[in-house]
Amino acid sequence: MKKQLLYIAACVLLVLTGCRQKGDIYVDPNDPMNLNYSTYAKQFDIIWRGMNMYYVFWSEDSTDWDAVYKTMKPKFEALDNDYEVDGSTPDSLTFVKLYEDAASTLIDHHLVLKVWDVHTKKQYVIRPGNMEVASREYVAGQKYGKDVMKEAIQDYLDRKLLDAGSWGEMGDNANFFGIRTLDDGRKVAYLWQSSYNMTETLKKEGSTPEENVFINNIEAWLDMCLTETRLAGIILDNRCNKGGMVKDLKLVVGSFIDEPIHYADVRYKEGSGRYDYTDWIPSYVDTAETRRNLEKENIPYIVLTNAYSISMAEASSQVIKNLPTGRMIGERTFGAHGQLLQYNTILHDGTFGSQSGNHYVYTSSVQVRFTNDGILEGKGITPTKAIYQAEEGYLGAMNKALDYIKAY
Amino acid sequence: MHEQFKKQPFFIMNRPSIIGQNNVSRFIVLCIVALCLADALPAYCQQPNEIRSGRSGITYAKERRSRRGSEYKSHRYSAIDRSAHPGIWTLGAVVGASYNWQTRDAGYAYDMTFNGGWGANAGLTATYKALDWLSIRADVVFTQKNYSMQRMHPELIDSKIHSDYMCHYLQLPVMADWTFGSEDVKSHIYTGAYAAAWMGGNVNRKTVFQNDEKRTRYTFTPEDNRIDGGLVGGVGVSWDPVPYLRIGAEALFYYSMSNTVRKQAVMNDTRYNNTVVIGISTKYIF
Repeated sequence: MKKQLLYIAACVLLVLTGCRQKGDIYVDPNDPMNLNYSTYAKQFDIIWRGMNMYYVFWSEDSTDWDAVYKTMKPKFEALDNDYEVDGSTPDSLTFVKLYEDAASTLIDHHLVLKVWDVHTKKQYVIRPGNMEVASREYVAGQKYGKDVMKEAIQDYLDRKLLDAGSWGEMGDNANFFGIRTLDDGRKVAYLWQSSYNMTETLKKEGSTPEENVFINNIEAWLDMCLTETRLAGIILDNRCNKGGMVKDLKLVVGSFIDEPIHYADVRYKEGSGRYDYTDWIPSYVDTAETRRNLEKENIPYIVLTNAYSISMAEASSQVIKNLPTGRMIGERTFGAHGQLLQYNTILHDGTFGSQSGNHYVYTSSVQVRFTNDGILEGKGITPTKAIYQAEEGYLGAMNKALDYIKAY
Repeated sequence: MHEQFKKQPFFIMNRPSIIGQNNVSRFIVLCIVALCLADALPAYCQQPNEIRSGRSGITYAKERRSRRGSEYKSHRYSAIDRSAHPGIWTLGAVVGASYNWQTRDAGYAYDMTFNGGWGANAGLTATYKALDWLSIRADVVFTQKNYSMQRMHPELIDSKIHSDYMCHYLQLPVMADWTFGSEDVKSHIYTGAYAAAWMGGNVNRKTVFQNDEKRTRYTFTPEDNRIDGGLVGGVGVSWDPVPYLRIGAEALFYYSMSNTVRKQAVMNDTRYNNTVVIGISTKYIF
């Protein structure tokens, strides 16, 4: 009986080994096979699974992504049913609204969903970050953008807030370098840029007068900040700046410090699970080869921000805000701090899909945790001194910056 | 042979072998071999040299059992016979090594490989002899279930990144101990189930954009399933050198039925632990 019982026990064990659940098959949202589909439900399914793997903020995001699937999938299936019954496709409002409902609570403010109607091939763009920022009380009704900044800067010149300056353009980007001479003869260096690409721009040769001015503006601002003996202060205007290259931190901050600054930690995703993160990796602002220590010379460094100071414009504002003579004046920023890398599909994070259809999801590859304030994705950087355009227009922050420098 | 296979023991999945192509089939073969050995080997070891040839171990064991009446009064067998009867408790310690690997899907990430990892195993073990040939065994053991992940994507700046996970579990296996053999040398086959708790761990990691390996304490995430449970089976041998003392060696296989990742409502990401524990034990016979 002993052996029979043992054989039975062994058989029971062996049978039970088959009770492990099978995992779901991973869907590669970049695979051409998964970019060509003909149903709305399949499109949503692939975008959902892509986000499940590649979204880098699951540790911080309170969105119930499983609930989103359960709620939204039947609605996309209903679109397919309608098409099968009478060949009707959803109108743009209905289609966009479905994806807005699915993604509206995601905190990644870099997130852009480009989806094509699988039948009409019409493209729609959904920006959940923009939706959140537009709903902020201090943003409602306000105008933002390059043209608005051009008007504001002209107003500064007209009102003698700036004595002189030059407007440069290169492609879609623009910048302005201005100087203000105070009553005591000291000077203030002012720079506004629509985006960050200073390091690469300085390596280029301009092909038009506007481009030459664009390049010269950056050189002139840096030259004045580093060599002007009667420098009263620096104003870096990050308002309506859509961000860009993080390596520009070395120019706009590294030029004014003698020791590298550990300003943040970053982490990536190394696996397909929502929480398969790498370690936190320290990020430093390196010192520039040519530099001037603002702290030793007690020179104030002001950064101006508004709700559309985005990405690198926020990172630079955060670092300047925490410099010994730094100050941030303006509005709470956009809230897009995650960085974007080219290794997205290799590291299981970041952008996926195809720009040529049927889906393209532009999203952060890197989670950023600021040394002083932690993870602020979706929230934005809070200024040292809040000045709202809704209350004081574009003049308010500039006036406050100049008053601060005069009184420093 | 691929580099990753060289480091792994023979029972690991995906390694070509003459005894089967997956873990379960190898486990079956090992069980059958263990049954045969358990039945014959202990008796064979005890028979005198002059009669070692010409008879099977099983035959000799039967003969030896029939002769026990005349030897019962000797000092040597009085203690052993005491442990050979039902109602006897033993309590002791077990210590050894563990080798764990995960059954999981890397999906389409062809550069991602998962390898097994060696760890430690130590704890307390108790048995109650219910029948002459069957005991109930329960342990409380600390077991490391280690594994590693490697990525070697050619497009990465630093093409080799790896994470070595050291996962600490407190395990409570309960097993039927099927005993074979003679009075002082016995062999055992274990079948049972276990429950375990994932207590913590560490990660040695060299990740992208980092030159040096860094060791950090593992931080649990909301999706980690810290409760583990599954099946356990294995083989062992024991020897009673003196009254009240039993020394043993054993190999157990813990087959987890619990996903280490909590089940998601939609995308079920399965990651199961498989752990082989080899160790030696010392038990006091009450």
